[in-house]
Amino acid sequence: MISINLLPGEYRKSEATPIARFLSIVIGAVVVTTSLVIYGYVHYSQLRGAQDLFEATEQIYTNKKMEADVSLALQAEINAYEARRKAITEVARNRILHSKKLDEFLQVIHAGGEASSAYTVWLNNLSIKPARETRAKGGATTGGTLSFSGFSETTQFSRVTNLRDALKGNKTFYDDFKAISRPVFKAQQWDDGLEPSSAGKFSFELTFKPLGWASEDKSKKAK
Amino acid sequence: MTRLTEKQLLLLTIGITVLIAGGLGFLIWSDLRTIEELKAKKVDLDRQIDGAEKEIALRPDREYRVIANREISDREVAFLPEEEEIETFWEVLEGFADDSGVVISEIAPSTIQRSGRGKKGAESTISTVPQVLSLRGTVDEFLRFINMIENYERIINVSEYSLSAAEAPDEDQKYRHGLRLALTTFTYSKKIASTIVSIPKYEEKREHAEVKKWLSRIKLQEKETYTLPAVAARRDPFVSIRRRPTSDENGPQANIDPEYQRLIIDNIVDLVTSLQQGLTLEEELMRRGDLWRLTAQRKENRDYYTQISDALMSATKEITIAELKDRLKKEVLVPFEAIKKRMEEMRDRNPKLNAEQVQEWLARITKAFDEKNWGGVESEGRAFRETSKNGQHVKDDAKDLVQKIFELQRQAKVIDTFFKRRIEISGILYSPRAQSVAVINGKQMTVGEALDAEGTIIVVDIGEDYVIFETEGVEIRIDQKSQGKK
Repeated sequence: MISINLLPGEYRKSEATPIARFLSIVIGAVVVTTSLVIYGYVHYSQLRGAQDLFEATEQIYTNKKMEADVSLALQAEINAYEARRKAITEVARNRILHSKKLDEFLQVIHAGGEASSAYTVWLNNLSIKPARETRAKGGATTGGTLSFSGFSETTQFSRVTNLRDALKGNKTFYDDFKAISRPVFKAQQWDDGLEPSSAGKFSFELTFKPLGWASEDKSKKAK
Repeated sequence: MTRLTEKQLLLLTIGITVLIAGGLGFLIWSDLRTIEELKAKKVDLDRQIDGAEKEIALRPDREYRVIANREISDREVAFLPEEEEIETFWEVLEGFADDSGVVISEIAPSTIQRSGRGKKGAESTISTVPQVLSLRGTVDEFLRFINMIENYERIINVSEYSLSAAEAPDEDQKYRHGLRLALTTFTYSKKIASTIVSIPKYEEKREHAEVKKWLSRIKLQEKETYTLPAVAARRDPFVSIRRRPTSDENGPQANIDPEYQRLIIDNIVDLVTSLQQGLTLEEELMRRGDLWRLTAQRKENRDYYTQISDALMSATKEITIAELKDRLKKEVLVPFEAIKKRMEEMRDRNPKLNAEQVQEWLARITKAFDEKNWGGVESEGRAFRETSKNGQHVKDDAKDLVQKIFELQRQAKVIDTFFKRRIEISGILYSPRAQSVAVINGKQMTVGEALDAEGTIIVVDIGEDYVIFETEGVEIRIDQKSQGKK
C-alpha cells in the first residue's frame, strides 16, 4: 500500500533515530570511552609507575652489587690466604726430619758396640721409603718405612735381638715409629781369610707412624 | 548504493563497539600482565639487594682481615721459595755438597708439579718440586748434607733415600758410600687471588685494633730444624769391621808397648791443646768482626776436631794400660767434652753478617774476578758460603749483595770450565759486510753456531782478531793473537 502523508510539514511527526540503534550507540560510546579511560589510566599511570619503580630498583641493585662484589672479592682473598695457610701447615706438619732420625739411629748402632758390647754390627744398606697413599678413607696409615740390613759380629741371635731391643728402647728414636719387624736372621760363613770368618746376617724394617702424628697428639692433649 | 536496514545498522554498531572495546580490553590486560611481571622482578631485585646489603655490611670486617693477612703474608711464606727462586735451587744444593763433603754425581731432571690435581682448595695454592740426586760420601758427610738441606731457610723435605755401603775405601782411605736421595721443595705464586681489591685509607686502617686482633689470631707456621750435636769417635757402621789378621813378628808385645801408647796420648793431647787455643782465637776474631781470618780459623779448628775424633777412635782400642787409660780420660776425653759444648755455644752465638761485611767480601771477590783469578774467586766464594751458611746467615739489607757474590762465583766457574776446554782459534776470515768465519779447534764456524754437541757454547761475534763466545749467560772473548783470557 502506498502511504501519502497529506499533513503540512509543520504538523508532520518528526523522524528520530530508532531507539534500539540509539541505545546501542550510546552504550557503545560509554563502553568505548570507559575502556579508553581505563586503558589510559593503566598504561600511562600504572604501567609507567611500575616501570619507573622497577628501573629505580634496578639502579639501586646495580650500585649495591658493585659494592657487594668488592666485599666478595675481599672474602675470596681471605679464602685464598686461608687455603694457602692450611697448605703450608700440612707441608710443615707432614715433615720427617731425616737427619735427626739418621743421627739417632747411628747413635744407637754405635752405642751397642763401643759402649756396652751388647751388639757390634755393620750395615750394608739403609733405605727410607715414603708411605704410598691408599684410597681407603683416612689416607695413609703409616709415614713410610726405614729398612736396613747388615751383619752382627757373631752368629749369636741374641746380639741381633739386643739391637732390636736397643732400637725399641731408645724413646727419642723409636717415638716416631709404630712397629719394628722381627729380625730376619741367617748365619753367614766366609773363607776369605778375613776376621771374623762368620757373622749373623740380619735385616729389619721399622714402620713410621702416620705423618703429622706429633701435631695431632699435641692438639688432642690441648683439648 | 543499497541502504542498510535498521537491524544491520544495529548489528554494525554493536560489532564496532565490541571490536573497539575488545581491543582496548586486550591492551589493558597486556599492560596489567606487564605490571605483574615488573612487580615480580622487583621482588626478586629486592631480595638480591638484601643479599648485597648483607655482603656490604661485612666489608669493614673483611677489610681488616685482608689487611692482617697481607701484612703477615711475607712472613708466612718465608720458608717457601717463589717460583723464580727454584732456578737457584740446584746452586744451593751444590753449595751444601761442597760444605758437607759429599759429591753429587747425578741430578735427575724434574718438573714443577701443580699439586692437588683435580682437587680444589688448599693443595692447589702450592706446587711441589721433586728432585732426585745421586751422591757419594761418608755417612757423616751424608748426614751433614741432609741436615743442611733440612735446616735451610726455605723448606726442602727429604722424601726418601737409600744408602749402599762402599766395598772398598777411596785413595784417601775414606769409605764413600753410594747414596740416592729424593727431595721435595714447594713453591707458591705471589698472586694470591684473581682480583686484588684496593682498600682505601689502608695505612690508617692498618693501625686499627681489629687488624691487630686478626694478626694475633694468625699463628705463623714454624719449620722444625735439627742441630747436629758434635759427636766424637763414632764408627761408620757401613764400613765392614772384617779385617785381615795382623801378622806381627813381635807378637802382642808391640801393641802394649807403653812408650807407643804414651806417644799416642801425647799426640792427642797436643791436638786438644791446639784446638783449645784455636777456639780462643776464634772467639777473639768473632768479637773483633775479622771475618776473613775468622773463616780460616774456623776451618782449622774443624780440621783439629776431625783429627782428634779420628785419633780417639783408634786410641780407645790401642790404649790398653790402665794408667794410660786414666790419663786419656783425664787429659783428652774430659777436655774434649768441654770443647764440644764450647763449640756448640759458639755456633749459637754467631751473629749475622751485615751489609758492610758482605760488601767487603764482594769487593774481594770482584777484585779476584777482575784479575781473572778464577781459583781465588772460587775459594773466596766458598769461604763466604761457609761463614754465611750459604748466604742464609746475613741481615736482610745484605741479601742483594749475597746474590751478586753468588753470580760472580757462578760466572767465574763458567769461565774457568770454558778455558779448560782448550779452545784454539787457528784462523779468522773477517768481513764487515758479509758473514765472517773463524776456524776454531779445526772447525769452520760462523756466528750463531754451537761449538759443542750439547749447544752450550755459541759463537756470538767474530771480529778481525777475536771471537766472542756465549755460554750459560756469560760472554767470553778470545783474542787470536794472545789466545788469552778476557
